[in-house]
Amino acid sequence: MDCKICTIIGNKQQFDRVRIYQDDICVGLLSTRPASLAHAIVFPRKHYTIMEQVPDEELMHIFEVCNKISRAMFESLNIQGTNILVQNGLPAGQEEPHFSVNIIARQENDGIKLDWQPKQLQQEEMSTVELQYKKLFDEVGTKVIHPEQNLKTEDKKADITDDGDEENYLVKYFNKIP
Amino acid sequence: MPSETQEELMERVKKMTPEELLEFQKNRCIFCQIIAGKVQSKKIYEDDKVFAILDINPANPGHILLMPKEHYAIMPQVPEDILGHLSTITKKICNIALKALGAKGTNVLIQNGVAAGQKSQHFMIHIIPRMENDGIGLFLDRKQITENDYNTVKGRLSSKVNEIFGIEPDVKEADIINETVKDIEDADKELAKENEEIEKLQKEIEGEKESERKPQPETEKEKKELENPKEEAKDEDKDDDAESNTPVEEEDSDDDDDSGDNGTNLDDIAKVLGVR
Repeated sequence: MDCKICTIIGNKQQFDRVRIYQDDICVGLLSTRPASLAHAIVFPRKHYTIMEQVPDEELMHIFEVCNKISRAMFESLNIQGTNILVQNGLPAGQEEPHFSVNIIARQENDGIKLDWQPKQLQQEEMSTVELQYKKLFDEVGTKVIHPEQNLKTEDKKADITDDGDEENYLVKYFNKIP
Repeated sequence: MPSETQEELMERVKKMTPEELLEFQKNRCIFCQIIAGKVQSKKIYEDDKVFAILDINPANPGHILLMPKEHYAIMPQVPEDILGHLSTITKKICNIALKALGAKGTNVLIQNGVAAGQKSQHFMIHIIPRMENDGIGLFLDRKQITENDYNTVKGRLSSKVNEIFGIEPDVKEADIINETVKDIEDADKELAKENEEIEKLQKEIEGEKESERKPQPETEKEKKELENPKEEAKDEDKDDDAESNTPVEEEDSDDDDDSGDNGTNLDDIAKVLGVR
């Protein structure tokens, strides 16, 4: 598939112009059309469309990189906050069919709206949702890796265990975009 | 502590050592009490490190708050292993939200600091199931910025990122960064000079005005034009203040002077949360 992000990562000149971080697993770019005064985006090097496809080890690494970039923002720019935002799927605002994590520098009263209007739910509604979650929690998803175990595994073999839902419908979704 | 005013409290918090502050925040933290089982909640997941509950004021049904059991105010304080664990659980919850609730997407949002919309003093990850056209405003409003501004931010951020990751930038890259930083410094200096001149001019104009005792309409106009650079000068002053009370990690920022010095003290961000 023709992915804009993969193209940028693959083109050295283009890549160097926006790159602020890179390693074997992921890259950090500084957005040229930022949502605030500094807006970094971390992409895995490999092409994954949504978070569910990213193997645990890579996802952990990506979050750690995001944390450090957010820290770097705090320490190098005069800011009072950062937002880390994942937009997973089109209705969640995802713009490119390549999984990414946004790191957005925030200042007091910068007028950026990353908030929502809280909804009031009925007790029954809450209980239904609670049950739905609990029922599925042990059945689906990835196996839980405990922090003590293999955090820094050296082998970079992608460990796609049971989360590769073959063709997730969210991915299909993206394939439909012209 | 009802007799204590906000200011007094802030003063007290400022004097606390990090350990005292942590204890103080823990005692006031509703989520620590929820985790301890003292306050009721709709818990949906728990293991030895993390805890997930349903948000009682959700953006959408199924809005989950995932947090470490240990009290941390903001993400930079969370240890690497816990953060890694949180990320895998986040993925698991997203997966379940898609399957169990029929959500068409999910948002994962972390708010670090009051300025970023953080409302609790316990670090947490929001996981929000999304439906099509559900009207939740979590989209990014992109802006155009000038190449100059972009390069300024990129230069400062890159050198700090390299420092934090312990990366030695290759020579060419280092040159570019240093040049950018130098450019910024030069521009700052020039601006300061210009401002001085403007101030001088202004004084002269005012002096003339007084001697003539007739306010000229022209001078009014000029004054207005001069206001902008003046404001910039004020901003710079502010930056300087911030520098002077930022004691963090001064040892490791050396040669790239300007790039690292006007950062924000993370402890301050955490402290503000403690008071709220």
